[in-house]
Amino acid sequence: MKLNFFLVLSAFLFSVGIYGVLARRNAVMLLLSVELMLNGVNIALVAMGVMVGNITGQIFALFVIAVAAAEVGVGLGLILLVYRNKQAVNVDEVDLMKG
Amino acid sequence: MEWFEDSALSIATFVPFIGALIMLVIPKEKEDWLKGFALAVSLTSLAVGIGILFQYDYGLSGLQFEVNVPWISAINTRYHVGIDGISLPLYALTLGIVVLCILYSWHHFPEPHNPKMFLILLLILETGMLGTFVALDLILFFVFFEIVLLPMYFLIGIWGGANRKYASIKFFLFTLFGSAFMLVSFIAMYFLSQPHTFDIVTLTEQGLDIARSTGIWVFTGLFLGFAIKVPMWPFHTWLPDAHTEAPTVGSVVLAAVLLKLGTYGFVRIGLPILPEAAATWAPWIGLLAVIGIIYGSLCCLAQTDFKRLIAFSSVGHMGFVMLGIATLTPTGINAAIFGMVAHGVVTGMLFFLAGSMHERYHTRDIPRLGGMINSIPRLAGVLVLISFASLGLPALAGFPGEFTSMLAAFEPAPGLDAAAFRVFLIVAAVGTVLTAGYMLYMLQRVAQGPIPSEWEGRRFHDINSFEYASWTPLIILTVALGVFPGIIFNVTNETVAPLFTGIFG
Amino acid sequence: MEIFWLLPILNIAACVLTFFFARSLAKGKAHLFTVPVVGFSWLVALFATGQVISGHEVVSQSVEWFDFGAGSLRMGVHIDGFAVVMMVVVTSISLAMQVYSISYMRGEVRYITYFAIVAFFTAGMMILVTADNLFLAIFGWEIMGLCSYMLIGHYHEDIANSGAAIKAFLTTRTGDLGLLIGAIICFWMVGTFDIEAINLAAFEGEFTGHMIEVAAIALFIGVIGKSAQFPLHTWLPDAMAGPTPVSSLIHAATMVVAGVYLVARLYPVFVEAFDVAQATGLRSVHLVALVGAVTALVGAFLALVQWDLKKILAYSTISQLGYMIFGLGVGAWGAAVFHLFTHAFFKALLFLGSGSVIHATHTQDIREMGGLRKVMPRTYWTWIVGTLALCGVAPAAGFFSKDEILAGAWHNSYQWVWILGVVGAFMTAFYMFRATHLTFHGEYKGHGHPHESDNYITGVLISLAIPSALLGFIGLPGQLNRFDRWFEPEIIHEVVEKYGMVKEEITSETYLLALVSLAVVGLGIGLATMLFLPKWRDSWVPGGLHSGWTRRAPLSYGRTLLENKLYLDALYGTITLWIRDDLSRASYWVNQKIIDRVVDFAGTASLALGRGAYLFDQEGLDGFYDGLGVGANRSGRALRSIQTGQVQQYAGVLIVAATLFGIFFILVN
Repeated sequence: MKLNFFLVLSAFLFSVGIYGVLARRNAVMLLLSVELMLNGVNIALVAMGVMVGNITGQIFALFVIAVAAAEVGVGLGLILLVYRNKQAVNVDEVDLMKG
Repeated sequence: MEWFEDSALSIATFVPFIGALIMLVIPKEKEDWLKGFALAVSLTSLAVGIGILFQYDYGLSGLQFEVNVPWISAINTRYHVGIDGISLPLYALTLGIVVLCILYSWHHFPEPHNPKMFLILLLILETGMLGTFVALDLILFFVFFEIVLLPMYFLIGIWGGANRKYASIKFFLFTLFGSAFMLVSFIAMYFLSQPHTFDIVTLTEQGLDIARSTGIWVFTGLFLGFAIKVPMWPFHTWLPDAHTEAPTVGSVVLAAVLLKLGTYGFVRIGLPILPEAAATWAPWIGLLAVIGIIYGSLCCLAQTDFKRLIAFSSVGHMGFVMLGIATLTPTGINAAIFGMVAHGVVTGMLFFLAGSMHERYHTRDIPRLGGMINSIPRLAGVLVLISFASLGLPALAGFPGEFTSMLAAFEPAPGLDAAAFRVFLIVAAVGTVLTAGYMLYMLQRVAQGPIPSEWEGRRFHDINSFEYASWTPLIILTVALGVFPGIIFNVTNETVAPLFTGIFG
Repeated sequence: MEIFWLLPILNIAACVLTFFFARSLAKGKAHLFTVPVVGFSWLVALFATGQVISGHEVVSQSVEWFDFGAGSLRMGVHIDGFAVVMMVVVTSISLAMQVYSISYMRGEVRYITYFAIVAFFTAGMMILVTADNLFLAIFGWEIMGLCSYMLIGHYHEDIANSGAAIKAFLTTRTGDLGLLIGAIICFWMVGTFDIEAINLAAFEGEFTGHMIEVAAIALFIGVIGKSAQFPLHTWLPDAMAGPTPVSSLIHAATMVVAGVYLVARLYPVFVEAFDVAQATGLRSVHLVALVGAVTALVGAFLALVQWDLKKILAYSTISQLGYMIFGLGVGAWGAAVFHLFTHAFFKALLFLGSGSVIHATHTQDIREMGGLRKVMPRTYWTWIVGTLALCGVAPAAGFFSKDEILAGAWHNSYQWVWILGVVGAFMTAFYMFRATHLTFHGEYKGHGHPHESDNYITGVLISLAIPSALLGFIGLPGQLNRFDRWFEPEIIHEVVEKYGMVKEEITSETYLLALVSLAVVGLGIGLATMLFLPKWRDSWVPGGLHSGWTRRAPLSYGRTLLENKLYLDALYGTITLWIRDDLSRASYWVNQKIIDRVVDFAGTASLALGRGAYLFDQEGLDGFYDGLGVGANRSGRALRSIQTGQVQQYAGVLIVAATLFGIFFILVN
């Protein structure tokens, strides 16, 4: 198995994730897209790790998974609160920080 | 009395701050406790100060009561304090003025009524001022210099007049702007000194071995920081607003002490450490000084607000002080220090009077005032006396400083353009006429003349006991300094003469 | 003489005590504090005069005062004959006017302040005349300025009076800048403010370059202001707004002569600077002589058109001060100082006499007076003595003193000054007798019931009349001159000797000059009497002697002659009237409309300039600083548009930036 395949897959997942982050209006979908980006990166990390023969890649990926889980937890909590206040989770409408 | 020698300055300087901290825990309803405690604290400092005055050896020219211990070794700054003939009069002036301010405020706290915060801020301010005068390390100096800003900002911003927000922010930012450059210069001096040091005494002794142009740049930074504080023309525009809007006690302290921080900085740091640069700058400083004298007097003529008039008169008086400094001679610097103390006493007194007049008439508007000699004769009498002191009548505090400044201007330090300084002398002399003009004009409208119809039938109470208590020392000092200028000159000359002879030109 | 230093201190103490205790301890009778003190001072001065005459040593005492870097100052007194003479003047006139004021100011407002300030003023003048250094002298000089301001503005409820006080103070202060600069120059040239040292240095030519001239000019500017010389004389007539006794003390006898005193005290400086002794042709037109002579004339001319009795005396004082100054300017030191001495007495007498008249008639306008001779005999006769002294009618004091000055001018080759001085003498006699006739002779034209003043006032008048009449005999010319011998300081003596400025013997020239003076004065008196003595005035109207029998020949020739004579009279009359009316009014107009306008304009211009400067300050300078703040604010607001609050936009920016960074790093590495 060539490394390229994994990197291409990773890049593909990452791009889809970016597209999702930039283009989706629903906050939950945004979080999903972020997850997608993170997982794409994970694949790249593990593949590279195997390539080089170093276990560091997998460890890094484990870290990322843990942090992603934490981040999703906090993110969903925030979205829940926003939903309670606005009855919708459209990111376009949450612009209270407008300068 | 070893322990006194070592700790007197630190005690006198920090006791107000500690007192302020203690006052934080006294509940704000117990006003009498608060007032009494504040007075006791300031009196303690004053007592230590009087002890210093007695223990000071007036025949020595160097620093006394010196303390030099490490402080922040990471940046090589030490806690180095000491007092000599230049700082002693100013130190004593500060101690006295704060006591008098607290006395004056006893029943007259400005609105919104919060004696606790007011007095705490005043005490912190006192520490800042005292520390600046005795600090002998550049960073220590800078810290105290800046400590002064925050209490003043709040004093003006909370207890001030109608336009206080604008005035307080303007004061704060303007002065801070200058201080930023001053700090840059301090750091530059640190790195330019061999070995690197922030210590003022060391820097003065060994000097800076730098190119002339570098020195000029460093001095420029210092100049900005100090000149804004003095205030010199054209950096003076914060002063009228700050003085007018500040509460009475704030104006008194501002005029009496804060303005002196700038001129003191010139004398302590600017001139001794960078004599060549000072000599290059001197004619320009002299020029700005005499412009300030004339300009200040002219603007005074146009004023209808009593406090604003006094504020502009400060610009004029500090012009004389700066002229003395610009001559770079011992005579001139003696004159400058005398002028600083005299201005503090006289203008501080004028602001006290303004406050009392405001308290009775509830206006500072000169066209509306009048006939004070007939309605409140004693207050008017004091106003006349102090006005004449302000315009530089001989036998009163204003004259020796102004005259000696002009005397020094005739023969500036060798290397300076004597012709230019003699022109400055003539312009300054014209300034004395203008000063007399606006003071007499003010007296004519405020003190003399019939009582205006607006106040007819109103009985104003003349000077009350708290006012007597806080004013009598200043009035006595006004006359004493005028008749016995030696009180200041004999103290300053011991230090100034050896320090400033021969280092210029 | 050794206790002279005590006298100013006592007077200051009297002032302070009066301020604080007169109301509580003496029921407001402030004079109980001040009069004894000045009386004591007067006695001491008289005693000292005796000491000086019998050859007492000069007394010089001083204490250390302060050290200011380039030098140190001592506070001290230097009592020589000159100082003693001045002390006599100060104490005598102060005592006289204070006693006078007990009655004159009775019931007036601020009685206590009045006496306190008078005492303080007396101390100030004492300090000036006894000071041994310029710095201390300036103290006395300025203290007097302060007291003058307070006394002129005594009735400050009327804004015109406080305005006059301000005018006086500011005009003298303007002159003072010259005084300060002159003192500063002297210090740097000589190394000390000590007067003896300065005089010695000047005499021996130790001033570098032209500095002595600059110093002398600067000092003289101060003199012009304080002694009301042309063109800074305009404050003096306005100063008449103060109570009359004040005018007699300050504006006749003491403060205004402070300038004369200064020139006299620092005489070597002025002599060397202006080459006073080498008067030949144009070189004799130097500043001191010129200003003095012009002032003498201007004052006299302006006195002619005044209807206010006090203003007449004020202009007369200006004129006499001019005499003193040009007396010094032509090298007649002794004569000028002697004139200062005598003038103090007879001018004070005249002022106090005018006060008596004003008190009685409740007006100062001489057109509303007249015939007071009959109701106020003591005032009248003392006034006549004073007037004769002022006009210089022998043997009254003024004759000797004024004549000595004129003789000095002639002797030292200042002929042009002599001529002007003689013209001035004529005018003096003329205007004084105009005033006298209109005030005291004829019929009373006013509305009140004038009566003689009380004993305080008339007693003082009589006491002043005696020296006015008799003092002349100390200052006789030539070898009879006691004044010079007793009172001239050592250094002045040396100057006079060196340049031969005083004529030793009395020659026929002396008598001739004196005769010319007397003749001129007589002419003036006569002319004034012809024109103003009420009962003669009407008979000089031309054509008043018509009657038929002189028209027929041969008496027609006589008549023509008479008419010719009358024509001559008409001619003289026209000329006299022209001088009296048109010329003098023209000069007064110039005085008021041009010179005084400049002074007033300086005031309004300063105000306008002040407003302009303030406007620039507020709009321009302050506007710039405010602009910085506004600018900061605006730029901040402009940058706000980047903050949209849209999360995705932020994310987008992040990603683009990260990508760019990534590409950059890849390329670099």
